Amino acid sequence: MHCKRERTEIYMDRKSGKRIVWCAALWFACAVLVTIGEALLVKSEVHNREQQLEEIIIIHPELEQEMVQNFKYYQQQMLEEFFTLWILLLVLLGVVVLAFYFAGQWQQRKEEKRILDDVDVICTQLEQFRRGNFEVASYFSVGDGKKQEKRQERAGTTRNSLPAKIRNPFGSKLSAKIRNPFESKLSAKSRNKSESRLSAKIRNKSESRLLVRIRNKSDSDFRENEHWVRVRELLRELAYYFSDIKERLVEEENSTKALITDISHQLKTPLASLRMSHELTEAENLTESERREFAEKETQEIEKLEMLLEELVNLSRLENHMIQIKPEPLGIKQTITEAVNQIFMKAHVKNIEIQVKLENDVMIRHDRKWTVEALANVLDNAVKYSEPQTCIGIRVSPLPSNLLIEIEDEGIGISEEDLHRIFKRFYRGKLASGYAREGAGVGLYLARSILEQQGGSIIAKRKMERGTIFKITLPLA
Amino acid sequence: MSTIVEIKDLVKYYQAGESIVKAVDHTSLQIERGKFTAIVGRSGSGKSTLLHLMGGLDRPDSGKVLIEDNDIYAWKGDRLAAFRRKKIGFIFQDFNLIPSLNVWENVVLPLGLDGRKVKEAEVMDILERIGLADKKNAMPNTLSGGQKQRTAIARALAAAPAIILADEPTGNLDSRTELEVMSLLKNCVKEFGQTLVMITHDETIAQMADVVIVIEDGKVVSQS
Repeated sequence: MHCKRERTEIYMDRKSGKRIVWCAALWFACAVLVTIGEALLVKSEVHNREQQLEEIIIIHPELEQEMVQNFKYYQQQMLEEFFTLWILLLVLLGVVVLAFYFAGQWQQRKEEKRILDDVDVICTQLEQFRRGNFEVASYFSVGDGKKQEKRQERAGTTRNSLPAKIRNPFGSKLSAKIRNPFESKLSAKSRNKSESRLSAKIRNKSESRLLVRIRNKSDSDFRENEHWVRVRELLRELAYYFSDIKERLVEEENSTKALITDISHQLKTPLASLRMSHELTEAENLTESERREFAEKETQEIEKLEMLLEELVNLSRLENHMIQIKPEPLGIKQTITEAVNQIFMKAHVKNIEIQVKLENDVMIRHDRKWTVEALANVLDNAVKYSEPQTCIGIRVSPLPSNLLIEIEDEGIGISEEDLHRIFKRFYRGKLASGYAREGAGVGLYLARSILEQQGGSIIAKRKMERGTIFKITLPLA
Repeated sequence: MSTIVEIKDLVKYYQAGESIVKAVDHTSLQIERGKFTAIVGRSGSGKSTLLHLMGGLDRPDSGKVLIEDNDIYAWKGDRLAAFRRKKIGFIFQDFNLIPSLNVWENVVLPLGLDGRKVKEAEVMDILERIGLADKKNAMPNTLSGGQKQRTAIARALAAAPAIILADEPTGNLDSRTELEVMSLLKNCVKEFGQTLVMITHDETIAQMADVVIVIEDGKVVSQS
């Protein structure tokens, strides 16, 4: 901040130095002009008097001596008077130039103070950022701050909002003339032609010069204001950016904590079930067949636990950005085949038919491994919540920019109130919780995360009859 | 996430014959920056009025709408209009394209109105993302519904507003096109770091949102 102040002061000193030189030059030029003017006047006066003297001597030659003495005396007096006038004019010029200089200095000080005030405001905001407070100072809030109001009043946010005096300092008559110079020329013609033309010309010239100067001034004010608005906007954006980063960090920390709590909660139930089966297997009064039955249940519980763990590991990796999804142009046919293969046995056991309608392979930008995971999750969901002897259909059709994959089942469906919640982490619909014990509300959440990270989307639509259609889009290659 | 729009005790009543319709009835809510918020409600639930009030298109009877901490209704017409042009982009169900202008001209129109310079590369990038690069010289009457809505989306994105308010953007589209348009809109908004507020009566489309606000009879009944 001090450095900036020093730089500004140096800049101001240079500006001030230039002004001194400029003022001195102006004074000197004016002095030269006054001197030349006076010298010409004196010369002309002396010449006139000499002529008068010569004429008097011709008429009265006897008075020559006396006249010459008088002439010398009065010439001396005249020269003294002119010298005094010359000195006075130079002093007056000096005073005017000095006044001009000090007015400039005063304006410069005012400008300097305003710039330093602005720099102070920016520094205060940056200092606040440094201390970790990412709130936007009221000065930078649009519409807040008296200074800003004043600034906008002074400079105007647009040319149209310039104060009336600046916009039209000459009054309506003059502005009309400037708008239509031909009109003024025409009126001048009707009066005294040569005189009025000349005066109109001079007037128009001086008026337009003045107007240009004022326009330049208002333009510079406008630009200055525009720069300030830009600085203000940038600082505000920066504040929001920092604020967002800070809040996102807090949110991520909370999300990780919530994830750990959710995972431990999700693991508790199957672990308790496994412990119960294990304790029953160890009981002494069991027959061999009962023991085998409990062991089988134990194996099933372990398998479920393994699946759940796999889902949770994937979820936590995805949430913590440990998984890098790299979309590349690949055919969708193989991706769908791999996804169907993953749940085929499960569907076969439940006697659920899977029909795939895909005429031509389509190239889309996707990460095959993770898209298979997403599609398999949706298909697994369809199998899980469908009755035996039903059918799951997969249809693929290209849209102008995306590929549409529709997965239609004849399952229990989704209630209307659950519709916008089913993609939330660990959310299980009311119908789903009542229908199947397995499932932790991770699959659809994971599928959505994977698809969205590839620029795709997923929605679920309730069918008129039983079942759901999941519509998935992925960008075409 | 920080709040970008805050609505405080907003009220807007309409006179319909002899009865008074409470379109927005003492509603308060917050919209988070950078998120996609869907406002869901049946026809006549007041969601459109709420969106119009949020975008400074109407004036409330009472209450406040704060956008980036600025009380927009404390301002008068010109200033509010300037702020709206700069900060808010609108997407309407009827597309609202100018029939005599081609796609490119429609997209850059708000920039011109705001006196901003058109950065051709940026606008072209948006058109490419939205899949309209090859249609930039096409007239609106030669476009399909989906393409018209994509043009409207590109127009909203081109002005780089902080908030995009969409009023039933897929209301006039078939189910296949609506998904594609929504997908494009969501991805673009996410990529450009903007906040999207969309009103819809379709719960299915609302699934794509990060936050869903349900509104009934001018009041917020749930937020999830």
